[in-house]
Amino acid sequence: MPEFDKNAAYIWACFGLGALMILATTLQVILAARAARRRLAALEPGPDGDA
Amino acid sequence: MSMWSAFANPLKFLRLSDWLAPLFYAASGLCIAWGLWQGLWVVPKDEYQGGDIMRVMFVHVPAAWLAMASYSALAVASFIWFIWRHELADIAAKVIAPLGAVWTALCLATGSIWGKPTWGTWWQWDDARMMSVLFLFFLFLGYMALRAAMDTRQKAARAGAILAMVGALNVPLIKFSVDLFTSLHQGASVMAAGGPKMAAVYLWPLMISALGHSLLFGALVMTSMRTEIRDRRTARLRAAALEGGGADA
Amino acid sequence: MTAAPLLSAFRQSLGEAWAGGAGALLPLGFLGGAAVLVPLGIGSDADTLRAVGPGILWVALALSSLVTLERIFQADAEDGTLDLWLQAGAPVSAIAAAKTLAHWLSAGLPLALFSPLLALMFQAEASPALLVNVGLYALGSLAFFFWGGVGAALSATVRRGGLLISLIALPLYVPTAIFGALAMSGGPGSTGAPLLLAASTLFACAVAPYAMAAALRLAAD
Repeated sequence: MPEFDKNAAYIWACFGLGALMILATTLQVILAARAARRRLAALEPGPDGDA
Repeated sequence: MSMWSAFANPLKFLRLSDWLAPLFYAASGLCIAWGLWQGLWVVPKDEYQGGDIMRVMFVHVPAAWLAMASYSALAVASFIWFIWRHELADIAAKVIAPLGAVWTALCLATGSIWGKPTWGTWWQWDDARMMSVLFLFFLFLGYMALRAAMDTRQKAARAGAILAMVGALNVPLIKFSVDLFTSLHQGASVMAAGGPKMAAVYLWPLMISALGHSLLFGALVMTSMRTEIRDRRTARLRAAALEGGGADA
Repeated sequence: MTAAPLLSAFRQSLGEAWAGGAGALLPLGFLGGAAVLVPLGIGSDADTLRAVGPGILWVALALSSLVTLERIFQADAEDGTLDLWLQAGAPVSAIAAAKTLAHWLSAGLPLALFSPLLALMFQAEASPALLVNVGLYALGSLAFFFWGGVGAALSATVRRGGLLISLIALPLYVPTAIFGALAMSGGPGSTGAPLLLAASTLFACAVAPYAMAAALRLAAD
């Protein structure tokens, strides 16, 4: 891990927050995509459901 | 069969995004990782910009870029939907708003954290960029709240498109007024991001980071659009089944 | 196209706005109440009050536009009046503008006219500048009402749309609030600010009626 000057806490806070928000959003989007695919596949098994 | 013509383009989009979205995810991962490595380990700190704290720009500046770019994308998608009633454009607008709001919030949060050691305050009313991004955030919130309040999808699309276009028309005026407001108050603007001139050693990692965030944003928009397309199809199938037909499926 | 639907829309809105017997007293009471809370909240120091007075009045004007606009199109959408307007042969944008104007006349303009009184309560020096400010408040509040009208038209079919209107209209109020406060600051840049205020109000008057018309057609569907 790199060493920073007196503002290290602020720097890590920014990068940590960025990583947290972006990863959480990505996870949410992917989980929602899976759920949507599953809902559709239950109604309509076939190429569209898992296209 | 008329249903299939409405689905022609979404189907094409599903096929395209099926390989394009993973490509975007992979490319964005590489770009962001390289940008982070450069920003945290490689580039030297800049004493003029307040020491190591300037490294925050490798997350703050891409977020600021995406805040503006995503609202522009929202406005363009709304315009396309309003003129041509292209369903994909509405789907794009619907999913861009919450994602854009996330990056706008990230821009505000990192700007605020950057501001504390630089200005000595978490919030600087005299900083035009912070104010503009704040109002952009409100525009996103209003858009999402309006869509959520409408009882049908068609109404949500129309109301959302009107509001996004009115908002986009106002953005230059808001920006101008905020710039005027802050230029007259002349706060202690120690920091000058992108200030006198940005050395190439910072510029490239910054550009690649911004590209990485944009690619990730694009990938997330595509995945969310696929989700929305499938959800709309699910809703149509359920409605058809309720009507007793079911054959339409 | 005839002017008759426009006039009747204008009259109907004026009647609505004055309904309840209180007329312009109701918005004035609102403004007075909001303004009186401020010294209670921030203290009665004369210098502080003098500094914040003009700004408080801008905020109160913005709030009063939001409060009075909540029902401007909602009642029409509910009782079918909206459908009549759409078939009346006059441009919907003109009808929407007439209704907004009527509401501004009964809830915006009176507040602007009473602003010198409140300014005095906020320790401002009695001077002709207070009368100039009446014009600035009137001009700025017109923009508030037009942008608020867009929010009201968009949420015409939404139950309890008041909060939604606030959220939609808030960012659109920014230029007016900034130019208006700047024009009264007396500091650098305050000479050109009234022109900028006028320009942003004109922009609102030019754009908002079309947005309202599009939103009202949506509400009637």
